[in-house]
Amino acid sequence: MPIPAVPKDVDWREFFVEQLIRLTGVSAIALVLVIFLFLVREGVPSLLEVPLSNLLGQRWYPTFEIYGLMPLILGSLLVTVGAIAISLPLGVATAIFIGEIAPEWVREILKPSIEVIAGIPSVVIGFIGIQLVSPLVRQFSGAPTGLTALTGVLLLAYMALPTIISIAEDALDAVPDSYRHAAFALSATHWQTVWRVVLPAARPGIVTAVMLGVGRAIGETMTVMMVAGNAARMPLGLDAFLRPVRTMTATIAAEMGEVARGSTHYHVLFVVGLALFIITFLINLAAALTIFRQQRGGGGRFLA
Amino acid sequence: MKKAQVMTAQAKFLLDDVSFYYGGQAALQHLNLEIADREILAIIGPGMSGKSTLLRILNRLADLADEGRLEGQVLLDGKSIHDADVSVTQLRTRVGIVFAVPVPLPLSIWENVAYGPQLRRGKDRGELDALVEKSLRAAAVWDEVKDRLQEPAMALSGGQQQRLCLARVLALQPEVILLDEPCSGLDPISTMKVETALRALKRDHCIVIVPHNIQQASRIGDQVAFLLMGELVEQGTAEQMFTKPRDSRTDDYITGRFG
Amino acid sequence: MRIPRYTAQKVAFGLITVAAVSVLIPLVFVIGYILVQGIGAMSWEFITAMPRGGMREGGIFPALIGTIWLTIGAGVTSIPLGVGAGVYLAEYAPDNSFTRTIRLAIINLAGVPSVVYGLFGLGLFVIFLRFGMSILAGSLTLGIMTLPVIISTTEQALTTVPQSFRVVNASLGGTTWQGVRKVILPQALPGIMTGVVLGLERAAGETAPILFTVAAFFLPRLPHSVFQQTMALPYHLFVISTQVPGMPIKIQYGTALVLLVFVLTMNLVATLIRRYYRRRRQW
Repeated sequence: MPIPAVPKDVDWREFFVEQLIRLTGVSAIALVLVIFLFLVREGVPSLLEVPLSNLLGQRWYPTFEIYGLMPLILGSLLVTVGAIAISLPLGVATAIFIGEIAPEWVREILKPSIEVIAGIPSVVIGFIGIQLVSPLVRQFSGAPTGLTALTGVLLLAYMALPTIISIAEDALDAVPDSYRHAAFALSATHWQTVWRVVLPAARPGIVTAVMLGVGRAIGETMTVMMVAGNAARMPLGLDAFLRPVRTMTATIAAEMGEVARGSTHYHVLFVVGLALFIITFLINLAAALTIFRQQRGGGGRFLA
Repeated sequence: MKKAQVMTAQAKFLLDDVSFYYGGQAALQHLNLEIADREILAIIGPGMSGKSTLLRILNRLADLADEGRLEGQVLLDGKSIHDADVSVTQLRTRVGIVFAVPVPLPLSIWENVAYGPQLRRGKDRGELDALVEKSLRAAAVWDEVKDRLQEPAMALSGGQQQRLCLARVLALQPEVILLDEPCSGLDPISTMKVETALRALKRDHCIVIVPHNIQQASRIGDQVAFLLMGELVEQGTAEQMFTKPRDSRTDDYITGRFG
Repeated sequence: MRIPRYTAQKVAFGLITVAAVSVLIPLVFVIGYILVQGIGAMSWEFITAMPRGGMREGGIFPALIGTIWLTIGAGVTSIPLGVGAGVYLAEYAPDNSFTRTIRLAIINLAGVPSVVYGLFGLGLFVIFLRFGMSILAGSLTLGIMTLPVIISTTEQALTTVPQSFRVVNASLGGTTWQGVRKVILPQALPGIMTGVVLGLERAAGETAPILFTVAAFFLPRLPHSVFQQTMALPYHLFVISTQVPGMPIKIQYGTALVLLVFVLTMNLVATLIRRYYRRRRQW
């Protein structure tokens, strides 16, 4: 909590320093606005140049002036949902392991290891995906190439894991010990306690973890660009996971280098970027609000 | 309308119809109090009576409270401490405070004591060394730390830390020393050392202390003020307050009928 | 059929342990595999020499030095601004909705995809401000991407320092900045440093922000000004693993290994800072 600065009796050096610090603080929020406005400025022209029916179409052929965004949006959605489907149970289970089961020495190894996973650059994971995971996928699935949505999903799941694990672990840790003791006193086993008491009490935190994991997965670029195939087709049908797919992020990365500045294609790519900005903004907003609401309401709703 | 200010020649602090509110709650109500120089004023009263708040008003530490609001006037040497041209940081070097829980800064013993003087430029190392020694002696802790001035202050015992905090305040060369239950949590020997130091210090300072029990007030207080639920019930010399209190509530508190 | 409680527990905890282990295994495998495959390419020449033969021989020095420059540039951009904003939020900002909005904005900025930062950097620095594809544009882009992390960890580190120190500083006649400068900031420094190192670790490893702002695949000479392009390790790895036919596999793994070591060393440094100062803390 800050101690209010006293303006009256300060010498000029203190005043100068304080104003400088104030400036940096305000510039943070200015930055968000600048980024947003810039994306809008470069992206909105596309809405004027390209009819909405085109943008919402199912084909993405920029060379023929066809800018249907649906394949890209669905591509992002597909790999994200797939990745979370894997990393949510795995991540929560690992969080439970770290928080409730693992002895101290195991925890000392596991926790830094999770941070190391988080630190591996996405291009390195993409590289390993090409070299190791993709051939495996091709072998076991019979798909013509290993560069499929499934490959992307597997790698993305691994990249989202550290986020989910660390936040879920914090959420489990925040559940007061008194809850566990109360359950033990009622002769519950450790597992029953975890499943029926601790996990429900930690639910807001786990939801937050998932939301931030989703944000991470949606925003990932290099990995999906390198292994998911980069074909901008609608990912429909039961074999969608075994076909190549392209995400919004990969589209920007792949095509921005080749567009003429100021062209329609250029503006459309900025609109895609704007969409990503808004989506992740909303996800993080929802996650932050969940945390704030939980802090105010306390974790006692389960026993209320 | 302000009451007429009756100032004796020696009044250091004058509180004129002072009330203090935390948000909607009144912590102090319409206090009229005179604090004389070169004396020890002990403020007694049951818990939550506003004693700590009163201390913090005297050096405007209460300004740090988010929702605090002061009414009335607080005069130091006849001048309001809330005047526009008053430097708050300077005020706090004239009126120093020792807290109930000793909080040594995460620095060496020497750096702790020299912290206040070093905030203002102009003293060289030699002067600071002399000031540090003088303050530690006056706080009755010099002998115990003189060989370890560069060691972390947090390594000291509780009693030593508290006397270090007193030395830290003395290094400011203040005119007034405020003490908020300084001996709560100290063993009887440390308590005795602190009280002896205060008796010596009152020759040159105005001292206001909130003792944590009545016995301490009777041991070292020259003047005693009784605060009850934010209201000043009675003020007088220690002898008068403890033997012939004028108000029945004072009598009840001192004899232990409530607490 | 009722499953006995303790059997259920054994099964559940067993599965959970399997899950946790299965998280760890790919990590060990990946790092080990890159190490094994890439160590063969390691040599003094690999790290210090310029590439030859269309990148298929020689060294990756320009990419390595480029990444170092960009990381430094990101730091120069983000550290003063980030620490300053963190100090502002922790020590000066009043507790009102405007401050809450700032905090929310920073949290959200931290979640924006790196490719969007790349887009922003392209639009603002490369094109609008006419820096062109350059170390300057790339550093600024990476710096802005790193900013939210540094602000958050700085603020966090400062608020962990006990409030009582601030009260003592005020009671001894100190101003807010004097307290921050003499006591609070030094005590928060380890946490701040950890955050800075982790933030820069990400900057060093990211490809998308530098794709359109600075990265080049082949430069015959090292850049000698900030207005020039540079090679960089992440981009180099990306290109040689996807777009250069006939690229020896050893060189690919070697490049990946160098990048991994670079990044994980920073990770290690951050962890060591954290551990060392936690032990020395007096409060």
